[in-house]
Amino acid sequence: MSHHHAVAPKPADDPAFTMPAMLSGLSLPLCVVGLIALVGGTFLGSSAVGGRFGMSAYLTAYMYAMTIAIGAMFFVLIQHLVRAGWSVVVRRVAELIMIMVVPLAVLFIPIGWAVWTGSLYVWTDAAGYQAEHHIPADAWAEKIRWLNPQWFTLRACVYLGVYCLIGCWYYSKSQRQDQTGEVTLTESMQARGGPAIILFALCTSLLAADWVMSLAPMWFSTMFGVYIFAGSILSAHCAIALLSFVLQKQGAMRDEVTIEHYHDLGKLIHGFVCFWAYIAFSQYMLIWYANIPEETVWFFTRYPGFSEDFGPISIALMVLHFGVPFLGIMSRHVRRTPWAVAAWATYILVLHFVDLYWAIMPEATVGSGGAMGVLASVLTVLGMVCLMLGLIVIVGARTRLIPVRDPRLAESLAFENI
Amino acid sequence: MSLAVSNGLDNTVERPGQRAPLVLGNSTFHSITESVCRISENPPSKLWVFSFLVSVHLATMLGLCILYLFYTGVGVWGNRSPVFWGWPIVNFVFWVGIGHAGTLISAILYLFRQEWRTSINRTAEAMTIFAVVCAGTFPGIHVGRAWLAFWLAPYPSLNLWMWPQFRSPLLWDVFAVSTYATVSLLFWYMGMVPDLATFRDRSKNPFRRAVYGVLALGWSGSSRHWMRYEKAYALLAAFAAPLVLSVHTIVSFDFAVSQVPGWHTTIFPPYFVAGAIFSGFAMVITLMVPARKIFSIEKLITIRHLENMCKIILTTGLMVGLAYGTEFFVAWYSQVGEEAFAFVNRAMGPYWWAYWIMISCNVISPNVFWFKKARTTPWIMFVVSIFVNIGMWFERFVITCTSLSRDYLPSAWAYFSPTWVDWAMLIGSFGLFFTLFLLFCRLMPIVNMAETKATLAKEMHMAHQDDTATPI
Repeated sequence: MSHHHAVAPKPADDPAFTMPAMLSGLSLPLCVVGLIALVGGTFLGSSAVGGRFGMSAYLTAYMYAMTIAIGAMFFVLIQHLVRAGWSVVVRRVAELIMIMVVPLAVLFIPIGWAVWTGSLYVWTDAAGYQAEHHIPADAWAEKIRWLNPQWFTLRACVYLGVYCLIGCWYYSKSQRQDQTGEVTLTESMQARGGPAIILFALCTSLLAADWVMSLAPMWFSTMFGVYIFAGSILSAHCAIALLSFVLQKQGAMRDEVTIEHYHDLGKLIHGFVCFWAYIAFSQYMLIWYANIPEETVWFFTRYPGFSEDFGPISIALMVLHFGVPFLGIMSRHVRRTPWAVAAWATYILVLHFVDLYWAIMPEATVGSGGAMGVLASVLTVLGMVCLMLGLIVIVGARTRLIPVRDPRLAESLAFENI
Repeated sequence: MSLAVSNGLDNTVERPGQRAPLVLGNSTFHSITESVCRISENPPSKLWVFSFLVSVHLATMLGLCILYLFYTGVGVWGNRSPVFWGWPIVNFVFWVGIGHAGTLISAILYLFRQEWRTSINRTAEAMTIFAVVCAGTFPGIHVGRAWLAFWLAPYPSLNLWMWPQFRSPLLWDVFAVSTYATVSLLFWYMGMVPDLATFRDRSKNPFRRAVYGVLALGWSGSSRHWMRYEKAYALLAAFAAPLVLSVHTIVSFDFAVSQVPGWHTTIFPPYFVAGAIFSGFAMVITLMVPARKIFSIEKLITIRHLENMCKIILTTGLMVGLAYGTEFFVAWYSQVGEEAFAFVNRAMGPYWWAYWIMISCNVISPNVFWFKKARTTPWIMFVVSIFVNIGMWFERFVITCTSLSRDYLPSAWAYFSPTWVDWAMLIGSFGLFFTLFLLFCRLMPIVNMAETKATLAKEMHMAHQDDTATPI
């Protein structure tokens, strides 16, 4: 809560609330280049490295975009649920990221295809995998009652359906408020925040188990859903800060998003860096300590000394995903310097990719795939990022960049950290 | 709805764009001081005396049980092979969990600038400390030879020529809980200094004046004092915030680092923390609902404060529910026989009743808070908070006892039954808790007057602005 000295918002049709022309011009090229890189990277991975590598790279890129989009969805939901005032000016940016769940639902098709053709998840070759790993028949029979293409696809449709439903509903209500300024819209978004978060939590927990954890079908960790969520919420805050900064650099919403908002985003980013580390450490430490083979296997494939490719990444994640940003964003001075917040956000967004790469790629069992493999992995995710940015700009060009008639806009404009 | 309305204003309704006040009833600085100080200055009510006598008797019973335990040995408890961790550990975890609300309110809500914390933080912090006292008792007396409990301290023992096992989470617990107790105590006391000075200045009795004078550390209310106070408070809040997570995380490690089915599950740390906050807030409600009525401080601890706490209870209750579900799902998904058995055994084995008490109280009962009527009606939230307290005790019982009573080797299975000493100590620990709490209510400022006045000042400032400027 803040002191709110009455600040008169600009009129709703002020040019400061429209997508800067420079970015609009880039939208189509971004989409085209992105799509080419995404498809090219995936094919490069499949052809140059082979096996499940290409589709694993696609899944990494997909999860990268998906976790950021659903993290932004969580941001939107929680801000409504707690009736936050400070965040209104950056909420539209979050909504634009959130609404990417719709194109991402379409981009799931290749993964669905891979499930049916057996080119990504090892459990799709049920009999072969069981024989190869000497899994007892009764245990495996139970397992494939959950992990089979039909049921997997149906579940994926449910998750994506729920995300699209929540995303579209919140997006359209927020759009309508831009036109009408109805206070009741805010009230109904608040009221639906609770049930929406429950659906969100269920879908996100199961999604993490289905799409990532099941890459190693015999491995299990109750924390895994929380782990994916921790990366998701962290990277979403970074994406919101970075995108706001870029839009401001291009001349949009310059007077609206202030140092105070970056300061708060910076604090939250710092908090979620700690949260991610807490979850990652707890998961690892408990498995390391109990030392049960069924559980340690997942970490062995990523262990220094056991995996040349992924061992160093395990160490790097500890230092670079936690230690460095923990110290880097600790200072109030950094958090009150917008470009520094944007720079750290970029840094963490890169590390978020490394985190997902580390979680997904070792299960393709061909290591990093050499230079071509790394190139394919990076190309795929860059393609995905370009495509998403292009789409965000296209959608953003059709809306105002802040919720111009939100009843708490004035509070957000006048927000000060005390 | 009448209960939610105080002086014609329902502060649980907040139109978007306006903020509802947190201090009601045309309060002034003076009326806040009066309503808080008179609780300590007036002679105790009959109800207070009666409650205090009951609590002291129960606390004495705890003390006598401890003496009996020391004299006889830990065999007086129901702890038998294979359940060597019986009720003492259940009670320890239960009380430590209760102790989480205070620091959450005073540190995390402070860092989030949640001003509604101001009138409830003092009581919650006090409750935290008393809960930690109750919690600390149980492992202390569970070590067998309690006079050697200091062996837990990390020093190279001259008797044994060895250090404690630093790789044991039980030792981490000693650090975690003692750090938590120290920081919570400091936080509580430091926050109280300005109010203790108010008590000192109002004291007519020279003895009282001298005691509060010493406790107030020469506070004069000068701006230099305030500046340092604010800085120290923010620093302590920043130090205390990780403690909210770390203490129950380490308590969860006590279980989760083991290989016992039902204990070793990676979601334990955040799940325990959510459960601790859940039970802590339930206890705050249990104490606040009667206290605000008895001491007539409803204008300071308003329905809005209670409603917010109900929302936190609902949220954390759902998080705990999600963790229960995740554990069950993964136990099946893992296809590890022992894991799956441990969870089926919880729900359908000999302790099925404890499991279903836990589910009903923790997962089902908080859902009444979806209804505003329940969140704004003190007696309903009081009843639910009691359910949550019961449910969270049973959660620890279910985790501890069902897993130990039936683990890998069926020939070693046995049913755990508590003895009368177990019962007496559990009840006695409530006696200790309420004795301390009732003493606190009589002797200390139970609402943070200084911060509540600051909140009031801000609200008056805002109201003034709203009169002159365009309402937003």
